[in-house]
Amino acid sequence: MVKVLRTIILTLSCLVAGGVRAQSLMPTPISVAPYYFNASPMMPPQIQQPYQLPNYWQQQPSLLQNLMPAFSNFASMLEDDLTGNTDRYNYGEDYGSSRRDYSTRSEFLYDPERPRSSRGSSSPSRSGTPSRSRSVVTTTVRATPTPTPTPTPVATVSADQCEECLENNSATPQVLETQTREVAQVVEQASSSVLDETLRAYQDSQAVKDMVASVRSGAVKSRNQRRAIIGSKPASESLGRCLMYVKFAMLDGGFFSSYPSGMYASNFSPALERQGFVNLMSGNGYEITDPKDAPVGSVIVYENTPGTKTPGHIEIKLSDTDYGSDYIDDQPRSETSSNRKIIGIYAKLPAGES
Amino acid sequence: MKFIISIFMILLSTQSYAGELESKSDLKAHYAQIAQKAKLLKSVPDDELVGEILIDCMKARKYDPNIFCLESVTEFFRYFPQTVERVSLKNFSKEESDFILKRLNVLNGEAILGNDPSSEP
Repeated sequence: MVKVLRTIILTLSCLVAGGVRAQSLMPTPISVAPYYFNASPMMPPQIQQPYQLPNYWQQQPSLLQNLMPAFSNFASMLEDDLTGNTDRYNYGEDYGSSRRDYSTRSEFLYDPERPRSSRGSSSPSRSGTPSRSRSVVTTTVRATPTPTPTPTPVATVSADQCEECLENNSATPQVLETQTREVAQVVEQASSSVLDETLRAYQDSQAVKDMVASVRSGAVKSRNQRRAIIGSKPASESLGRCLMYVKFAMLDGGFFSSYPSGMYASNFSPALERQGFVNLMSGNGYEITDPKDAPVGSVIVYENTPGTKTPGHIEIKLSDTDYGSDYIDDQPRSETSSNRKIIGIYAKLPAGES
Repeated sequence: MKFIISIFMILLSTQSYAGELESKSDLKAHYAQIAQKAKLLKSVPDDELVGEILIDCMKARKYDPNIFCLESVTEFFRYFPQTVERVSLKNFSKEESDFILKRLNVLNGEAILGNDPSSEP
């Protein structure tokens, strides 16, 4: 009996203790539970009692509050339709509270059956009494969008319109637009033909021919670091001295009076520009970015792509299928190397063109 | 089941041949792949990777006699010339190995001395 009582007392005491412990945890809201798991055990977060949500959460309107303006608008529109009160369409709260008159005058609305007066002809409203023209008729503006007035075909063309308009009996803006487009095309063709003639003059010049011939003959000569010829080599073999060979070719073409300085091909653009060469990649009316579109005799300058420490490259377009420097290849270097990027396609235009 | 396996085989075979060099127009893309692979040399400079790059480069020799893709290995060759020589001798004949080393010397000289060493200030 005593044992039974002791067991009951112990059981009750355990239950009471557990209940007290559970009760001590009850005021803690569930939303702060993550703080208990994430926070350091040495510094438990301070919980303010009663717990308040942050301001951001308190500022969130409920779904009903969000949809309330839409509901009220719909209700007012429905009320207008049902009651027949369609004198004026209310454009929302802002418009309704203002003092402006948003009713639309009938003369601004499209009415296909209403006779339209042409500009040239004298309308009776203008010649008639002025009080009639000032009369304003307010009409209903429905919720549906107002149809855009389409231009009606004009039977008579005024005297100030062009002859073609009279012949075609068409609207003036369309004719003028086509005429402007045709003029622009003619101007563009004329300018491009002038540019093409300029480039053709460069590639047909004797200087370019001499330069190209020098590249072809020089590519089979092997030169050492001191520019001395030490033997022969296949024309397709590169020696890594493109700039040296290009300089010799340009000297033979007469573009330089003395051997120019410069170690790296990527830095040779200023020297070319000092001799009157222009970059056809941008400016001067040209946008030639592909060496295949460049004229024969173009000097193509490459720089290293970012991240590579190899020097740039320079070569001359010998023909539509040949590019040469210290070696000759049937493709520009941009097609055979992923580390070179074209920075300039140079040509020397006749005086006054640059 | 056999049908699915055959489709997988076809897909795998097309994938494996996707990187093959079939014409000169594929050269640039092929070199770009080699350059991407060569970037790993800075973190994993092992013989196997160097050998793979050299083999890929030599595949392009019939379209590009100067095998400019070796530019990707030039910097590695500057610091580890004996490794490159050992790997090329292991994977290629003596003649081909000499050709690779000659091209690497040319590209290395171009990188150090510039495109016109005679104009050195």
